[in-house]
Amino acid sequence: MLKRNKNKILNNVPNILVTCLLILGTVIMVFPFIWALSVSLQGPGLAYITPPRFFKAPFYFSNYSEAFAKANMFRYFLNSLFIAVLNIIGAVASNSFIGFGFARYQFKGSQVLFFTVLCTMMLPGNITAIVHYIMWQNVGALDTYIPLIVPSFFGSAMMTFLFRQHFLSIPTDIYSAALVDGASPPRIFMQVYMPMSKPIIATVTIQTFLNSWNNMFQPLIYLTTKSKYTISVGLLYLKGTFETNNTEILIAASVLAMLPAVVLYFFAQKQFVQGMVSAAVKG
Amino acid sequence: MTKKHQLWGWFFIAPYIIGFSIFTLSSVLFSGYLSFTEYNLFNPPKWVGFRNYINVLTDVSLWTSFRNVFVYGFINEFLQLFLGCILAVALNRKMKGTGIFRTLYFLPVLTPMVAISFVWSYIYNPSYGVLNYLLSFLGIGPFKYTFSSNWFEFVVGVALMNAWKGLGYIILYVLGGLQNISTEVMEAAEVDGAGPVRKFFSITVPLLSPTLFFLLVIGVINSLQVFDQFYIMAQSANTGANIKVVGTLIYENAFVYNKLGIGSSIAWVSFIVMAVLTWIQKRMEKRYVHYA
Repeated sequence: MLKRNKNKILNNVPNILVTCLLILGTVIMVFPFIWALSVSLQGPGLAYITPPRFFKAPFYFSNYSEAFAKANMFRYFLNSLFIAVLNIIGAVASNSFIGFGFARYQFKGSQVLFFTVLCTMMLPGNITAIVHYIMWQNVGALDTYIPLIVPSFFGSAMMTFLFRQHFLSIPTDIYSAALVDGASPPRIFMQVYMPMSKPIIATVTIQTFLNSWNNMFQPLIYLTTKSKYTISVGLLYLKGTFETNNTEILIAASVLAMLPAVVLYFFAQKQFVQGMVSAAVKG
Repeated sequence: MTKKHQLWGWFFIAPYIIGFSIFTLSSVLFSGYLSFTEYNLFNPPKWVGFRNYINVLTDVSLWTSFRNVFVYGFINEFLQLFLGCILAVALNRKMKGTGIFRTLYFLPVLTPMVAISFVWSYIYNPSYGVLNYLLSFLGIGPFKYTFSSNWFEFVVGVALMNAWKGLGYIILYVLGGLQNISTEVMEAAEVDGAGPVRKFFSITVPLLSPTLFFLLVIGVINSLQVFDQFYIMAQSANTGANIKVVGTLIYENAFVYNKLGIGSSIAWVSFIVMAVLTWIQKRMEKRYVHYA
């Protein structure tokens, strides 16, 4: 009896320490977000005062409407959303299609090709970015969304791999049975395999959304017309206008840019986490 | 039947074959060719042999940018792996509320780098930023962070922000690795009288080493390719030249000055460095990584 009590105490003391550590970590991890919220509600000029003000009334919620009205955030939002939706359609359609091919039809040629999929994962984007730019320039696609959208319709190594692994886990008997029943392979893919892949589709959707929404490099090199800017390039452009006199509006715009991912995350945490783990190799 | 089967296989793989040949294979080959030419988008590429490589390798800006990348990568990797391990071990305990912590640690990973950089720039600002204000209570500072004219202060500022942003991702991975360590091993060690510190270094770390190794390899590759954060933060810095990274050099040469040949050759130099580093890490893997 006595021994058990002693053990309990020994077990509980580190728990308190661990909790303190985790809370300290949380404060550091969350602080920039809280601080951004606080600044985004400050009145004109008050964001430059020392000592800094922390959530002091009056709150200027108008900073957010200003970000939409003066800073053109609405436009950037729509542009980014448009690109993200098309990227999601492209990624889900192409990667599931290709993944099905690699999973269900294994022969010599396809296995060699699958090896190239694995190699592509290791290839740094720096090597190909310049050539892609030249290619899109040659077909007159600079300053359009084509370079940001079209490549997603041809599959990406990591996501193809994800779909392939999932399709491999589905017993071959199902495929053979459907074939005997007279269904064509594309129909089996659409009506048997895809309905069984909802978790992977969700993961790929979310991962593609994040990649697309957070993408800065491609929009930066391809888009030159201001009204075509995406959220990241739009924010970069706003920095010049707002940082010196209206930093609270710039921060409000930044908070708005973070919002979609954060809101989505709270609704679909599991898929987010899965997607992030699978996207370890971004290169 | 098998012939038909194969044909359907080609049918499904076709989009990949098209994409791979255009966006990967021919792009890589053409990029290799470009790195030996002078090309400005308007005149056809002119073969110059190794001149680009000689120019690039003898230019001091390449070496400063490699220095910046390595300092950035070292600080970033060290902080992320060190803090990531500690926090993941803490989160791995069966305790109430760890789910909430995990959720919150993961938030920065998802948010756009531009927005995060603006918030951190505001926090870092030497004239009205909150970080110097808070540190002044501890008697530390003031620092100029990414607003500094000193390259080291700038690189440390970017590395700190990035370590913060990516920490949740590392934690997630290490937690996955921890879940694979059997409780039996831990209990056996406890019976033998090992304390928590001893257990951490003698059991947890060796059994985690494959995960940590993987994260290190990925981390080195990502560090060498870093661009976004440096590009954004450099806009408010005091100096331009000595705070560049390899990614910035490629971007400027190819897309600002239209020297696409030079840009390609820098990209290949950085790729070779990356390959060599990965190879060295692979060699060390045999000595330091413990596969159960």
